[in-house]
Order: sequence, then C-alpha cells, then structure tokens
Amino acid sequence: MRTSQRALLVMILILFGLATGGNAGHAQSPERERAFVYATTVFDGLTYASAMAPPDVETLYMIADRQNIIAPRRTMIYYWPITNRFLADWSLLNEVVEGELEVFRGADLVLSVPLQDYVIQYDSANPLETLRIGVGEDALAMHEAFEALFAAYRESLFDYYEAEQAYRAELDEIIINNEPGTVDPEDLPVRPEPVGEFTIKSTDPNKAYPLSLPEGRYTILMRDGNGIVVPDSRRSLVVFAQLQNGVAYSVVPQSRWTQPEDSVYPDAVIYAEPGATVYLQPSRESLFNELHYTRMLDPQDQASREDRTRWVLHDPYPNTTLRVSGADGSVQEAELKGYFVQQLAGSGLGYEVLEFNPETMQRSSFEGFALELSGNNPVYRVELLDEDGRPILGSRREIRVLNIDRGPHVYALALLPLAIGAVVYLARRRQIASVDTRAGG
Amino acid sequence: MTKANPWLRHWRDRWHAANCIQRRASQSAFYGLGIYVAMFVALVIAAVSVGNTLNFTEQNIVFVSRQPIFLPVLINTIIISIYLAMVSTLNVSSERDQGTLETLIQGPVDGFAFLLGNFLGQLKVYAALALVAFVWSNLLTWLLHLQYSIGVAVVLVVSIAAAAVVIAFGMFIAMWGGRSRTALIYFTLITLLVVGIQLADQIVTGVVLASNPAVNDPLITVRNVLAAANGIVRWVSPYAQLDLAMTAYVDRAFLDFFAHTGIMLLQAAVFLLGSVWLLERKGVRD
Repeated sequence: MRTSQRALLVMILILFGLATGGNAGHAQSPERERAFVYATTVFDGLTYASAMAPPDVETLYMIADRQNIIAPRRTMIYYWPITNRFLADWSLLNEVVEGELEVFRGADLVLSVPLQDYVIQYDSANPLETLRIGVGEDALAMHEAFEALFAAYRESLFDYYEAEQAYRAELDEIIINNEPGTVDPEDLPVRPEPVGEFTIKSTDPNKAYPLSLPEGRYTILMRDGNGIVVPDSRRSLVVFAQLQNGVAYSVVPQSRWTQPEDSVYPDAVIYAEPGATVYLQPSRESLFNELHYTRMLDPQDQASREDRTRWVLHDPYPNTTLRVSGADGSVQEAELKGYFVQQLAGSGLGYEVLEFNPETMQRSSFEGFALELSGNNPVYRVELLDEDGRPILGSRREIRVLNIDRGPHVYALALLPLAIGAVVYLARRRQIASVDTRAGG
Repeated sequence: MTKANPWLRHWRDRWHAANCIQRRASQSAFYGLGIYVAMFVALVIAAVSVGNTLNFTEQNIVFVSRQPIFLPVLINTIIISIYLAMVSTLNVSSERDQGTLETLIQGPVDGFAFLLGNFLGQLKVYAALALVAFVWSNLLTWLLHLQYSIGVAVVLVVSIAAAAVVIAFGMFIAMWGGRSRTALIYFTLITLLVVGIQLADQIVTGVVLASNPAVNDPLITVRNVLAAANGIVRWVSPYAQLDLAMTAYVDRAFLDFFAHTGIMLLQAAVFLLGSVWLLERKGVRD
C-alpha cells in the first residue's frame, strides 16, 4: 500500500471513529440488570418517604418504634453516572418478592413478618398529628373509609357547583329584569359557601412487610415460599431513635427572602443588622444521627458521617402566636401572616414584600411573623404561644441587633496586650532606674 | 524543737526549688516582648474571624450562633499555647545544651523540680494572658452588642488545661529531642501534623458534601482515612478536647464537659511525668 493510500485510510478510520464516537456520546442509556432490591417507605419524622436500596447497599436504616414498610422487589437496575446512584427502572420489572421477612438480633430470630396490605393516610393540614398507617384488614378498612370520604367530598363539590350556577343564573335574571340601584340588597340571593380543599391524603393498598422495631442493630433476610433464603436479601438493619425534639425558626430577611437562616438550638441567639425586617417561621424539628437519618432517606449516600448530628425541620408549627418582648419592657403578640413578593417593574432585579391580600393576590409567597428590628431597642425576646396562650417549650429565642459598623474597632482591641506590655515595660524601666539611682547614690 | 518528716521536707524543698524556677521563667516571659506580640498576633487573627462574622451578617442580614466568641477564644488559645510551649521547649533544651542544667542538678534542684518549675512558669503566663483574653472578650461583647455569657469565662479557665497539655508536651519533646533545634523541629512537625489532620478532615468533609461522590470515589477513601485519623487525634489533641469541652458546655452536657477537662489534665500529667522520666533516663548532658 502506498503512503498516500495509507494516509487516506487512516483519515477515513479517524473520521469514522469520531463519527461513531460522537453518536455514542449523545446517547446515555445505561445497561439494565435484574436485581433484588429493598424498596422502603419509612417514617421521616413527619410523614413517609420512599427509598430504594440496591444490592450494593449493605445496611438499611429506620426510626425506632414507628411503623415502617419494607418491600423486597425484583426490578431492573442501572447505574446513573450523573448522580452516582443505582436507579430502578420500575416500568421494566416491578415484582414483589413473596415469602416471609425474617428479623434477627445477633443469631436470634426476633420477628417473622408475612406479606401484608398497608395504607398510609394523613391530613396535609397537620401531617404530624394525623399520620396513620394501616396494616392488613385495617388497611383495607381505612382505604374504604377514605374512598367514602372522598366520594362525599366530590358530592358536596358537585352540589356547590350546582348551587353556584343557580346563584349566578338568579343574579343574571335580577340584573336583566331590574334597573341598576332599584333592588334591595336583602332581596339578592345568598352566595353558596365554597367547599374547602380536600386535605386527606391516602395511598392505595399495597403489599409489603410492615416493621416496627425498638432501637438496635438487626439483620434481615427474605425467605421464599419454600423456606429458601432469597439471594442478596441478607442486609443489616439499624433502627435508631430521634435524639431530641424542639422548635426551630427559619429567619427570613426581607431583603434576602430566599436565603433564610435557621435557628435550631433553643440557646442560639439571632443577630441581625440594625433596621432589618425579618420574618420568623417556626417549625417542629428533630435531632438525629447524621449518617443514620441521611442513609435512611438515601441508602446510597456517601457524604454523611456517624460522628455528627443533624437537625431536621418538619412542618410549620400550627395555630400559634408570637410574643415579642422588647428590652424596654414592651410586650406585643404577633399573628402569623402571609406575604407576597412583588417583582418590581423594569429590566433590573428587585422586589418588595407585601402583606398578602386574598382579594388581589393569588397566593402568598411565604408565611411568617414579621419583626422590624429597631436600632433603638436592640434586644428582643420571642416565644411561641399555643392556642390557649401558653408558652411552647423550647420556642424562646433572643434577637439582638449587632453593631456591625464597629467592625474596625475589633482590630483596635487587639492592641490591648501591646498596651499592657508597654505598661509593664515602663514599670520595669522605672524599677531598674530606681535601683540604679540607689546603687549610684 | 521537733524534726519535720524527711519525706515532707524533701517535697517542701522540691516545691521551693520549683517555685524559684517558676518565678524566674514567668518573670522572664513577663518582662520580655514575646508574649505581648504573640497575643497581639493571636487577637488580630481572632479579630479577622470576628470580622468575617460581621461581614457575613452584613451581607446575610441575620446570623445565628450559640457562642460567637468561642471560636476567637479557641484561636487565641491555640496560638498562645503553641508560643509558650515553644518557649518552654527552648528554655528547657537550651539549659541542657549550655550545660547549666547539669549545674542546677548538682545544687538543690532535681529534674522534677526543674521541669515542674518551668511548666508552672509558662502556665502562670498563660493564665495571665487568659485574663487579658477575658477582658478582651468582654470589651468585644460590649462593643458589638453580643449576648454576655459566663461560658466564655468557663471556657477560658478550661483553656488553661489545654495550654497545660501543650506546654508539658513541649517539655516532653525537649527532653526527647535532645538539642534545642531538633526539639523545636520535632515539636513543630508533630503540632502541624495534629492540627493538619483536623483541618484536612474538615476541608475534605466539606468537599465530599459538595461533590455528591460515588461509593468508589477516591475522595471517599481519603475522607474515611482522615476521619479515622481524626478519630484518634481528637482524643490526643488538647485543642480537639477543648473544642469538645466547649461543645459539651453549650449542650449542657456537664458530664462530658468534666470528662474532656479531666482528659486534658491527665494528658498534661502524663507529658510532665514523661519528661521527668526522660530526663532521668537520658541524663542532664547532651
């Protein structure tokens, strides 16, 4: 082969390689493989969250003494490099593994759980206090009750729309048949009351293995109908308790409303710029071991550490007022209000925070207790009060207005040891001088 | 006239000798410029940390903290104690280098009294500087309108235990390392290693949190190795113990607080007695 022919061949091969390589670079469809996984639906401190533990994950985590759901499944998994996670393609295969889930503590079998129906229900207006999980017959009964409630709601919604239509028709008729200003308002039809939002949430009945265990370390495995251990089903299970409960405040500065700062410790002080307006958003919170909690929600997490803790903020604290005591002895009670963030007209960025008005605004951007921090009254103490006016434990915080403009003085304070050194040096010099004088005299 | 118990007399003489050495060491430090400059540098660095907090508050409008002064106090303790430990390392090893230690030991001073005196001298200087730090922290609290906390005073008292460990460790290295320069190099390297592991652990953990790593990511291995190393270092390093004691104090975990303080006192005793043992073993000549 001549040199020119060889060069041409090499060029064609390079171009072909680039072309095929380019095509391969566009497609991102990782290979799927059949695997046994544990799908979990676990109590996260407020509601239930779902996760998937592929075969590589050796340990599962869940909160103690709460009903959690373990669903061993066969599915197709694939590695997704963008998030560095194995994911399940449930649409290709989603098969519940039937048999018994066995739980061991050391070598002792402590529980053998059969496959059961379960249903999770809660009121989204107050999930923490309304969350229920039904198992077996209870699950079916709960779902039936939910269906009945939903049907009744649909019925009342239908009735409302009908009444609304009738009201509008009657109103139109009055407008057509009467001159403006001639109808006595008392003769006008009464507008029907709108039906509130349906806040009850429920899952459909599903089949899985419910587990509620005391704190401890366990081993779980699946045994199929023939009593044979299902491959890849043996995993460690860490059941952990929440370490502490409390009340957190998300402190939303008016001029940075998307960047709140959380105050999770009851003894933490909130320092603020003079003249700032802040909005306090109280919520329930729980303290957990960082690794246990994070891996419960994301079994493939690698970043969390067992020697650290993590505060988890839950739902907004319902039905409360905020008592604000100033350093001057003033005491005020603030109500939780909605606020609307209005973008300013023009091409530049800018916004103003307005009190929410349901008549003119669609929905509030956020809710909170507003506090205008005056530079003249630099210490505030805030505390949440419940519906009966009683202080809520752990909700007290101190807010102090920081003297930000005194930053340069902090550096001047560093001269303190040099000043002391100078005094010592001068005293020493005088001492030596007096000794010299005495010796000379 | 009754004769004193010989054992008691021996210890009284020892204490007297140690006290004389302590006075000499502390006076030498107080009349020098070094400690004032060292504390000035420490407070400037602490002021940078406070300045950062102020800048953060200015930009973020709010800043939430349980004890904003604890970090500057920790920085101050680290710098001052390292400086004093280096001074004590040099003092002790140069006495040996110059042969004055041999002369001292021929007289009424034994190895224990010599080391104890030097140790107490530097500790006295640290306690005085802790008092200055207390005044500084109160001025800072007043100036910036921070919340006054008795915890700062408590932590400054406990920081004396941390300083005791570092000073005793400096003397241990002086006895172990031999010549002044060698001892100083050993002390610097070990201190850098211990502080470096803690810093690296914090930095790598932060990087891991930000990078969403996979199971086989080499960063995870580095993080795990550093975390394991730090797991040991946190029980050895007096700064880690002081930090844990501070955390225990704000968490109101007083049992942990006293445990970490106790560990620091134990470490100081071990290093001090270890240096006495090394002096006896290696002798007073270089």
